[in-house]
Amino acid sequence: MKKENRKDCTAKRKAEGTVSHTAQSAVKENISHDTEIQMAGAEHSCTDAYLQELVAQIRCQKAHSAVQEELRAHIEDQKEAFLEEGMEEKEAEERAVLEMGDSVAAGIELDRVHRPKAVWGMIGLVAVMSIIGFVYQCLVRQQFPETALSGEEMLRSGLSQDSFEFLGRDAYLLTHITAFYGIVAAVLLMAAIVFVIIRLFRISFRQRNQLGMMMGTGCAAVFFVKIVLYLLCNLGLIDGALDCPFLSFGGTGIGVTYILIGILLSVCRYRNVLPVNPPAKELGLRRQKI
Amino acid sequence: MNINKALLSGSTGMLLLKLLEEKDMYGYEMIEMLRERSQNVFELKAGTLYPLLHTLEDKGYVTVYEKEVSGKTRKYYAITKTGSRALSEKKEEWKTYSEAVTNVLSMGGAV
Repeated sequence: MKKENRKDCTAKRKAEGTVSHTAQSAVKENISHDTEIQMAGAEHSCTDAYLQELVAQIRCQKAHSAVQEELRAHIEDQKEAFLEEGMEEKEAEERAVLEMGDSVAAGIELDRVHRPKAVWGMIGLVAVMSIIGFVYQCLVRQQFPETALSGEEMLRSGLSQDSFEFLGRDAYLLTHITAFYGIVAAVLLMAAIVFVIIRLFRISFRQRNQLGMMMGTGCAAVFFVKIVLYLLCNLGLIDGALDCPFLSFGGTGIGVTYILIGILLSVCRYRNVLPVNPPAKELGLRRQKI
Repeated sequence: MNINKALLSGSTGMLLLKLLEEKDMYGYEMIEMLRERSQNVFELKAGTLYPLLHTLEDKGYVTVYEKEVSGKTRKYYAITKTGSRALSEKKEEWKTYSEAVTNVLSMGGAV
């Protein structure tokens, strides 16, 4: 019975040529298949037909559930209003769906909004920082082709010109910049990095999707801690060979930096797509499966 | 009453922001309120409303939060600071535009 009903629906839908009448004909279709629908359950109510047709226009699958939920709530509100006016259950639902307007047009409009965003601003920022880091590394390597050892002791023994021989290593780049290019350069560079991190935090906090917010904030926090430790290390307040995001050229450091940046870019990209909270229905289903 | 859609779409965003300036609302509430305020001139369809609201959210003019009212979880929209600023700009624009239209129309009064 159910199968038959479905076949019928698809056949009818194919037959429908014009776009603007699809919602209306979906309603008519439901009237003619009255009894079958009741047997098939709520699955093929005209609300569902409308929502499915609308959501089919939105290419990004992840946005579907949030849009559906919001519109379903709207239809229900409208239906209740009609019920209060004295309509019958079925009639009220059909009228409520008709009131929604054209499903395809609305779907296309929503598709335009819920598209993954290309975050060129962020990509540009990351690219600029990376280029600065790269150019700086090239300069350092030219200056000190061979890296000397035991840098820390040399640094502590006094900041003579010779003692920067070790600075091919990544831990004291900021000290190196201060000595060779002046304190202003070092401060400017730090300001730039701090600016990037503040931006990352702001973007993360503005995420309405909770998972996105947590992941974004987490990544930004890692960057923040790294910078603070690096600064303290370069000021001689703590020990330890650390790396600075963007500036250092160490294998692990660079890997971690760009993995985190990748996660953050992805969080930005999907900010218009994901719902505020994961829909309860989906969670329920997953639990059942487990 | 039928009104040209193109005339409506540009200013509907402004009207929605105006409604949200007074209080936070959900979609259905906005349509009802708009109909009431405009004395049935603006019968906004939900199919037009939600794409518009989502666009406004994308621009950062409104924010969304979920709230449970009498057993139903609803998506409430609230205006942001950027939204308020955009609204006052739009109001100015609209004023200039409508005054210009009125002026032009009244000039041709002899016809």
